[in-house]
Amino acid sequence: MEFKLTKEQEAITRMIREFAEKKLAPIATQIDRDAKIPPDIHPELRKLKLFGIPYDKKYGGGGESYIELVLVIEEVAKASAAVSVRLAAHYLAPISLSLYGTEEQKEQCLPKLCSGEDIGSLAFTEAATGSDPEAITTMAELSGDDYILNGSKRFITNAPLDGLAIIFAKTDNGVTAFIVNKNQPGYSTSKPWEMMGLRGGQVADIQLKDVRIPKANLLGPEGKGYRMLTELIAYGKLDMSACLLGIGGAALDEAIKYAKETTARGKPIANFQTIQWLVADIETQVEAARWLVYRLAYLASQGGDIRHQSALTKLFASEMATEVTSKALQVHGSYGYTKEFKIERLYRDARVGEIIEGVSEIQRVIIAASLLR
Amino acid sequence: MNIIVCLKQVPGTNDVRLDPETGSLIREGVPSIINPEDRNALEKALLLREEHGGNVVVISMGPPQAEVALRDALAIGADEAILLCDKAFAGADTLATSFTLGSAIKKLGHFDLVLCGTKTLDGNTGQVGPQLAELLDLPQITYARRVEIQGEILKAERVFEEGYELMETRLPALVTVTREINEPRIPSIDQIMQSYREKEVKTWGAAYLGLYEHSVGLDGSATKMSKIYKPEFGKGKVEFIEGSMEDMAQGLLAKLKERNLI
Ligand SMILES: Cc1cc2nc3c(=O)[nH]c(=O)nc-3n(C[C@H](O)[C@H](O)[C@@H](O)COP(=O)(O)OP(=O)(O)OC[C@H]3O[C@@H](n4cnc5c(N)ncnc54)[C@H](O)[C@@H]3O)c2cc1C
Ligand SMILES: Cc1cc2nc3c(=O)[nH]c(=O)nc-3n(C[C@H](O)[C@H](O)[C@H](O)COP(=O)(O)OP(=O)(O)OC[C@H]3O[C@@H](n4cnc5c(N)ncnc54)[C@H](O)[C@@H]3O)c2cc1C
Repeated sequence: MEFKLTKEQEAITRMIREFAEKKLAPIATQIDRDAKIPPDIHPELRKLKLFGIPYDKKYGGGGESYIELVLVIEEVAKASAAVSVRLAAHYLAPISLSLYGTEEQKEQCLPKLCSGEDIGSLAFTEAATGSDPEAITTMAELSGDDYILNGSKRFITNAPLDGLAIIFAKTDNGVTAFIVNKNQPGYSTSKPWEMMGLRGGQVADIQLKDVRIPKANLLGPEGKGYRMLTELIAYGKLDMSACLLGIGGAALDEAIKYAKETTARGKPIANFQTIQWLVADIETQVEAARWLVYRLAYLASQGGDIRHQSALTKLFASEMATEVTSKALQVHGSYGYTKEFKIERLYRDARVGEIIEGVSEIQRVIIAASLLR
Repeated sequence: MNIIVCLKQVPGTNDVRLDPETGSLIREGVPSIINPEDRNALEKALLLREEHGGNVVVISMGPPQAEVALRDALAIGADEAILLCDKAFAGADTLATSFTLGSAIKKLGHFDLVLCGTKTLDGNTGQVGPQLAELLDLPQITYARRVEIQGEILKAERVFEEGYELMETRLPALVTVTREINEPRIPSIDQIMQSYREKEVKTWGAAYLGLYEHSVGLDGSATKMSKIYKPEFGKGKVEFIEGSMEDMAQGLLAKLKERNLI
């Protein structure tokens, strides 16, 4: 057992941190305010080859492990959680194809996804589904050699951005996943939701009106969509946990900076034991989450079932992020409640962790179910 | 065009902490980086290579862990990397550093241009570039914020506080650059991986360079550091004198006279 990064992993952290500090941090407030990531950011992310890190080299991926992936997400999230979530949501498409795609589907779809020319989405949630996947109403009906999709999806990240979406719909024998081109006739999206945090993430509803999908674009075994979803979302939880780790790390940095720079009666507030305890708690929680996240990345790289471990990692990482951003805000006092300070954004960005990729309550259900079966 | 870039690994922080007992730098927990201006020098070398073709060699004198800085440079795009590493090199002042770097550059043989940063984040003397030029008997241009090459001629803008000079020299030459000169590129994930897994960093020691131990490191240094300490910040009022260079100088003079300090 060795708890340390390799030299190349350290180099990735160093270089992506430099990129994030130079290119993302200066515009993070603007991204949050305008709920929009400026268009020149995407080509920069592509140049660094961030869209295909762990996928097979044969299809244009980086062929690296999930450790490299989470290190990248973590550093990006420290500067701008919105940008990190664009990446995290994207990865759900290439992982879907990597796990379930046929040779032809991989050859056709993965190179563009891995290069970032196509931006990925995964669309399961509907107005009624959320924690209850059986309530799915989007339909796929066979018509000759094609399926015709009708229905709508809610809160889908990256939905308005060009590329591919993996869309789940009801078929005769259950729920089935489809590869859908987001430029296809009949595919349209709502105005992005005005969100509390992760602003700029482009989360929108999808309307599907007679979207014609050739049989060749059916992904994985027909009717086995639920099972696929639980496996795919486990990777989503890994990526999301890395975002939350980045948010937590940023909160720690902000708390330390503020505590050292701000004085009360001529002395830095860092001299107060109350502040010291807050900072100590923040680091303790962030480090605990860090090693859960890195371990989950390691497990994912080994292959195998990560559903149980990803549930407990995301559960812990999300509660960590809401708690440490709250504590770091407390270190700032009233200033932390103003838009002048980064911690205000971090506090809002963190909150979604306990909701997306399955609410915390459902994570507890999953964990308990695997223990008490 | 063969370009040599000298780069130094430095602690990536301005908040240098010193061990109060020994006076030495506390490196633990402080990530090391390539000296920022040396990243600019490397970037300039890569841009010149893109324009004129050729080869970029990065060279650094430092402890074994300085290999990381050279690996980063290979990831960023350098063709070859050489680490000058030997127990005998330890404790070098700027003279011994320049001498060692110069010996390695002579060993490399043919080159058209040597690029350095102007100053480092830690030592901050700004002496290595000029000393190296003298040792190699090269024309030098320091503080360059713009460099271009036409045939055998190098043209540069040399900045100082109130303006800049246009300079010209024949190649080969040595130029030290400032951070203004360009924005250094960041390598992609696959470039980083390739550099660490597939590329080579050569290590040269004193014996390989044919150097005597008394001419390098602490023994080869003309200066000795007797004490190193962090200034304590005292309490008191700070006053900023603003305006043009002239106004500030006059203002300062007046203040000093007012207090009978001069
Ligand atoms: C805090 C501190 C204070 C010091 N004070 C002194 C002092 O007062 N007098 C003295 O003689 N020495 C001093 N030294 C030692 C001195 O820094 C080093 O001996 C010398 O290697 C580099 O000098 P510099 O960092 O000032 O480089 P600078 O002269 O500021 O560097 C200019 C450029 O030279 C190149 N370069 C410098 N060092 C290397 C290297 N090791 N390998 C490759 N390229 C390099 C880089 O391109 C760099 O940008 C000090 C060191 C430290 C850490
Ligand atoms: C920013 C953002 C981005 C998103 N991106 C995507 C995306 O890209 N793709 C996608 O498919 N979806 C996406 N979603 C949707 C998200 O995954 C769902 O919203 C989430 O799964 C929760 O579902 P819900 O909102 O319907 O909550 P509900 O399930 O309605 O939950 C409401 C409350 O009821 C409780 N509850 C519900 N059922 C149970 C139960 N069985 N047991 C105990 N408690 C229960 C919950 O704990 C919660 O407190 C995104 C959401 C957000 C906010």
